[in-house]
Amino acid sequence: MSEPTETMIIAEGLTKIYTDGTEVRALDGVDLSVERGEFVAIMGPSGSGKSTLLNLIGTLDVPTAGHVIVEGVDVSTLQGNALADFRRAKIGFVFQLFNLVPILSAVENVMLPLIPYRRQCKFDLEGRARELLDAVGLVERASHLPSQLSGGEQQRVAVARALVNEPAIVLADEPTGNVDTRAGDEVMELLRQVCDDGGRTVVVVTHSPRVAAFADRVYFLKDGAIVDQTRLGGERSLEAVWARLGLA
Amino acid sequence: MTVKHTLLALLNHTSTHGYELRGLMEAALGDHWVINTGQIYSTLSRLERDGLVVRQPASVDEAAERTAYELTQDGRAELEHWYHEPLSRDYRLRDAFHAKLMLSFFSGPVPPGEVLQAQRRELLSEMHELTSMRAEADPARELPWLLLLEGAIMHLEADLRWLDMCQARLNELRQMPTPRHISRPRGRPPTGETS
Repeated sequence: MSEPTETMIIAEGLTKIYTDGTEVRALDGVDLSVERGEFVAIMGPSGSGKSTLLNLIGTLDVPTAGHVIVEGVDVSTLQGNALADFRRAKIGFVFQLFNLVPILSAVENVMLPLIPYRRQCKFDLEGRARELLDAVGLVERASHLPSQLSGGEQQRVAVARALVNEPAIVLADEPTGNVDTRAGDEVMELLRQVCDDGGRTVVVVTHSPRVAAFADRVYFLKDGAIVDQTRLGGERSLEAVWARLGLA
Repeated sequence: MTVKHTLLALLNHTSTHGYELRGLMEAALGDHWVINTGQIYSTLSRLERDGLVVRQPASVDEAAERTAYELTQDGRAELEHWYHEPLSRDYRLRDAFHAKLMLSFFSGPVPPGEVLQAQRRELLSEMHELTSMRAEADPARELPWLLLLEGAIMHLEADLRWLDMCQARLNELRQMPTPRHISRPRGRPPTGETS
């Protein structure tokens, strides 16, 4: 706890305006920062700009104004291959709809992000993919196709895939949005481990308090702007929990 | 939870003595329910007086606290009745926040949106603690405890959804007329017209 924290992600004045006929201001001057090894949730109702914000942090989209700085690098200065290399080195993604390739097995899906770079890999890619499937409790399902897996299992494969490049940052967009509550909790516990045991920085966007409660810190997004943030846990909350359980 | 019915339930499972009942209770419900042994003995005496349990014949060398109890017909009937009777949950707890929120609409100095957000932060923070406790619970050995935590998490979820609903209706609530004192006639009946 006393280790000096280091800022992993900084967003400064992040603005995104879509001009598809009418002008839509999806994000309006968002400032936020995420420390290394922190688990952050960005919470807000649908249409509040959560996914836009995550896509900008993940360099999947380009802001209209403002900057994203990851480990001191302003990603707007990166283009083409440099941007792709940066993303592959630093970031893993988990999506709401899993985005697994239906004709590939679980283990092939996990390998997928690095298959084009397989020759450059100084390790056994398939071996690593199997280790990751083991870590998410699915090693015995390695040769199954996505259609042969439950929603929760598919999302766990997607978490394994997000880790195959050993990223410093894992970004997840409504990762429990398409699975039942219990499977959703398992996915979130997995992401919590990715943060706690793997020392990775995790950012999840969600509308669900149940999901946000896994995080250390929550940013509240409304109409494209951060309206509040809070650090979760602490003595006061713990006392309230005992009272809530009728044990105080 | 009533100690009375817990003891009836445990004795219906196995006839035994007070000290062991305490251990059984912990095994069945988790250590957060544990009560002192004295309370168990006093409850057993009352159950015996009411004819719901009887002492099993003790062997001569057994100490009094080693006397085993067993359920009577009446005891079993009382236990069945208890299981069939649904419990009602106390919802009054939430009223304090409801009152605070409603007062904030006309009293100032803190806008209702901020009052809501302060509550949301706290509930999420509690939910975070419960989520961590749930992650630490062993599903094989501590399932009753885990489900208790889950119940609390689900109640928090409901509370937070209710806050979202209030948030979505803040503008409508702001349209509500400011409460006014309506004087009721007291004492002597008024002689003139009142406004």
